[in-house]
Amino acid sequence: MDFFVRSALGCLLASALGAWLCRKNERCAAVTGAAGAVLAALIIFAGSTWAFWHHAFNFYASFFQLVVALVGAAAAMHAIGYLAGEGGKKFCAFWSFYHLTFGAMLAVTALRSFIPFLIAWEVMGLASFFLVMLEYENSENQRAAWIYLLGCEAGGLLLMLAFALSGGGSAAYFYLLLAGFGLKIGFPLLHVWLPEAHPAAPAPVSALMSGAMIPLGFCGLFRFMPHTSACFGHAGWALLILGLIGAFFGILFAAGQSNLKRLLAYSSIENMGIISLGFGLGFLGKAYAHPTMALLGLGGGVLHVFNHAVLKGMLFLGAGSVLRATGTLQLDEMGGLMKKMPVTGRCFLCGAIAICGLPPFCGFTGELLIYIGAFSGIAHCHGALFAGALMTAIVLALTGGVACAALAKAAGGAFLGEPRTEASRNAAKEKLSMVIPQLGLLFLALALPLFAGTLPDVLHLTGKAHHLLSVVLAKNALFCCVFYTLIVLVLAWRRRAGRDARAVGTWDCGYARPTGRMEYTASALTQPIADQFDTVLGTKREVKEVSGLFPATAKILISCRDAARNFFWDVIFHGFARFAEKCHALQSGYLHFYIFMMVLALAAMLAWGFWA
Amino acid sequence: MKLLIWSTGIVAALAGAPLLPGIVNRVKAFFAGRKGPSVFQLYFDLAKLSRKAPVYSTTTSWVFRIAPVVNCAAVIGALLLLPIAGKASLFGFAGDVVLMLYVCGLGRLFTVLGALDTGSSFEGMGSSRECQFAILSEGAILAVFGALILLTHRVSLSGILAQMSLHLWSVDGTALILVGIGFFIVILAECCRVPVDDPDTHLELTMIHEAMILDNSGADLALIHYAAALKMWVLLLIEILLICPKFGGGAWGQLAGEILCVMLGAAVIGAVESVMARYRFRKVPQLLSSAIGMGLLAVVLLILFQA
Repeated sequence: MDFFVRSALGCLLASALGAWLCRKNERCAAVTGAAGAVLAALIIFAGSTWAFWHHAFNFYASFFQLVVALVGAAAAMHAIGYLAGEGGKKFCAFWSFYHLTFGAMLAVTALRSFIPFLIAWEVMGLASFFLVMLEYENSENQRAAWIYLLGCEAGGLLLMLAFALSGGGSAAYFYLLLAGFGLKIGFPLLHVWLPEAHPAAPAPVSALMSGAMIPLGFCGLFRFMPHTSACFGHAGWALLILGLIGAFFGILFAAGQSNLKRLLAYSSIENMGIISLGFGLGFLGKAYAHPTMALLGLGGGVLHVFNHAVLKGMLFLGAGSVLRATGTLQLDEMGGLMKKMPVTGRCFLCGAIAICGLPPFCGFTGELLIYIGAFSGIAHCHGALFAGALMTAIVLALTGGVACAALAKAAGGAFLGEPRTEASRNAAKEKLSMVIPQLGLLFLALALPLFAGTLPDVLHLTGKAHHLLSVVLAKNALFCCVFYTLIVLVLAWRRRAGRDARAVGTWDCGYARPTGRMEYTASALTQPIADQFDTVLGTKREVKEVSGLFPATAKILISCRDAARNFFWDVIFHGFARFAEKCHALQSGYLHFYIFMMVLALAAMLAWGFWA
Repeated sequence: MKLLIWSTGIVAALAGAPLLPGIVNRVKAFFAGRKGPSVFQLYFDLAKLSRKAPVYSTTTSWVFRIAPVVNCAAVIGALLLLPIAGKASLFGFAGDVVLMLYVCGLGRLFTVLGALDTGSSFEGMGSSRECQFAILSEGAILAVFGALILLTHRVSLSGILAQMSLHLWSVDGTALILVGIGFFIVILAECCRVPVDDPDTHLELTMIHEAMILDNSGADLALIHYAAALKMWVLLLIEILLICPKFGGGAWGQLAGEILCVMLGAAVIGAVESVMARYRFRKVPQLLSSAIGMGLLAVVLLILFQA
C-alpha cells in the first residue's frame, strides 16, 4: 500500500470521526463527511498523476483506485443533498459506513497478498451491507439487504476456498475465483443480488456500488488468477460465454423493468457482460497468440470499466434526485420532469444515450475497441475462436439495440412528455449539491472520447500496438469533432429557417385535450420487446378486464421477475428448506435417541478409520 | 485529386438525396397506372417547409427541438464515413462500420426521444415499434458485415468495399448473394419502406416512422424528410458497392456509375413496394431475423467452401 492510499485512508478516518463529533448539527456533519471523501479522492488523483509521471502506473492498483475515487467523491457530494433532512445521526451513521466502504475499496485495489486482501474484501461487503440497510424502516429494504449480505458472504466463502487451494494453481482454483468474484461482478445466475440491493440502497450508495464496487471483482480476479497461457485460455472462454449471456439477457431484463433503479441495476449486469466480452476476447487473444485481438479486447474492457463508472454513477445519482423530487421510482408514475429538473434531466438523458454506447459520448469508445477486437478475430481466426468473435459482434449489436429501447424507456418515461401523476407534476426543485457531481461526470463523459488517445501511453504500449490503438482512438475523436460541427451547422440553419415558432398543445391526431393519462406509458414502450422475448422474460400480467355495458374500472399490472431467481435459486433454496424440514424429524427430544445417534456416528467413524 | 473526387461524391449525395423518394414514388405511380408527382417533388416540399414557421407543442422540451437536428447531423456523419468512387473516406479507420451503425443509432434514438417528448400516444406507439425493429436490424447489419469481414479479411468499410470484385463474385457468389439480400432487407427496414413500414399510410395506428414525427413541422420536418432521403442514399450506396463494385471509365466514370446505380436502387425499392403488401407487425421480426439468418448462412458457406 503506497503513501497516497494510506493518506487517503487516514483522511477518510478523520472525516468519519469529524462527522461523528458534529452529529448534533446536520449540515456540519454532512459537509465534513463529503469533504473527507472529496479530499481522499483528490489524494488518489494526485497519486495516479505521480505514478503516471514516474512510469509506475499499475493497472490493478492505480487504474481501479482512480475509478473508485472518482465515483466515491461524486456520490459523496450527492449524498449531502440526498440525505438532507434525515438528521445528523443518520448522516453520522451514513458517513462511518460510507467511508469504511470507500476505504476498504481502496485497500482492495492496493493489497497484494491473500489474507489482507480477503479482510479488506469482507470489510467492503459488510460495510456496504449496512449502507444498503440504511433505510431499514422499510421491510422491503431489509429483505434486499439480507439477500445482498448472502451474496457477499457466499462470494467471500468461495474466495476462502479458492485461496486454500491456491498452491495447486489448478483449474479448480481459477473457477472458484471466478465464482467468488463473479458474485460481486454479477455474472449471469450470480447476479440475483444486484436488482434487489440497488433499488433498496440510497442513490449515492447504488452509484458507488454499481460504478466502482462491482468492477473490483475484475481487479481481484486478474490479480489472483495465474498468469499462464493455459489459464488465459480458461479465463477467456469463461468470460466470453458469461459475457455473451450477461450482456444480452441483462439488458433484456432491464427493458422489462418499470422501477428506474432496478432497470439501471440490470443495465449494470449488461455492462459487466460487455466488459467481460472485452476481457474474454483479450485473454483468448493472449492464449492463442493473436496480439491484435488481445490488445483491442483488453483495451476495450479497461475503457469500458472507466466509462461505465462515470455513466452509471451519473445515472444512479440522477435516479436518486428523481426519487427525492417525486418520492417514487416507478417510471409509469413520472413523466415531464425535464421542465422541473432541467439539469438532472439533461445529465440523465446524456448518460442514458452514452450507456447505450452511442457516439459522441464516452460509452462508445470502449465498445468500439471490443467490436474491432471481435472483427480482427473474425478476419484472422479459425474454428471456435472465430465463432466466439462473430457471436461477440452480433450479440453486442443486439444488446446495443435493446439498450436503446431500455434507456429510452428510462429517460423518456421519467423526464419527457406530460407528468403522469400529481407527485410528478409537483416535483421538488433540484438541489445544487445533487446537481454538481452529475455535471462533473457529464463533463467527463463528453471529454473522454476526445482524450482517450492517451490510453496507449497509460498502458505503456509501444510499437505496432501503440499505433493501432492510437489511430482508432484519434479517428474516433476526430469524428466526434466533425459531428459536433455538423450539429452546430444544422442548428444554425434551423435557427435561420425556424423563426417565429408558435406554441400550441400536442396535436395527438385530433384529441381536444390530451392529458398525461393518455400518454404512452414507459412499460408500453418496451412491451413489444417483452412480448417478443416472453419465453425468457416470463412477464406476469394481472389484468382486470373491461366488462359490462357501463365498465367501471379496469386494471393491468405487469411485473417482470428475475428468471434466475425464479427458476434456479428459489428452486434450490426451497428444496433445501424442505430437506431441512425433513431432518427436523431427527430432533425428537428423547435423550436415548440422541445417544443412539452418537453411537451410530462413532461406529461409522470407526469403520471409516479401519477401512481407510 | 483523390480528395476532389471523394468530396464531389459527398456533395452529389447531399444534393441528390431528395431525388430518391421522388424516384420511388414515380415508380409506384407507374405500377399503379398513375402519372404521379414530379421526381423533384421532395425538393419543392423541402423548400416550402423550410420557409414555414414551426409549431411546437407546449408539452415539449429542448429534446423535441434538437432531435431532428441530431438525426440529420448523424446521417450526414454516416455519409462522411463512406468510401466513394474507390476513394477511402477521410474519416475512415479499422472498424468504422461500427461508428456508422452507431451514429445512425444515435439519430434514431433522438427521433424516439423527440417523439416521447410530445406526450402523444401515437408517437409513443411509433417509438415503441421503431425500438423493437431496430434491435434486429442492427443485429442483421453486424451479421452481414461479419460475413464480409470473413470474406475480405478487412475491417474498415473502405477496405471491405475495395475488395469487392467480379473475381470475388465468381468465387464466393452464393455467399455474396445472401449478403446482398440480407442487406437489402435491412435497407427496407431502416428506410421505413414496405413491407416493414408504409410511408404513405393514412392511418396513424399502422405507422412506424411517420407516427413518430406527427408533431414536427416547418424546418424540423424538412430536416427529417431530408435525413430519411439521405439515409436511403447511404444504405443504397453500400449495397451498390457490394453488388456491382467496379464500373469502367476511371474514377469519374466510377462516380457517375455509382450515382446512377443508387437511383436505380431507388427504382428497385419502388418496384418492391408496388408488388407487395406490408407485413403484419408480428411478421416483421421474422423478416428481420431472416436477414440475420442470411448473414450467418453466408458465414457458414464461406467457412465450408473457403480453400
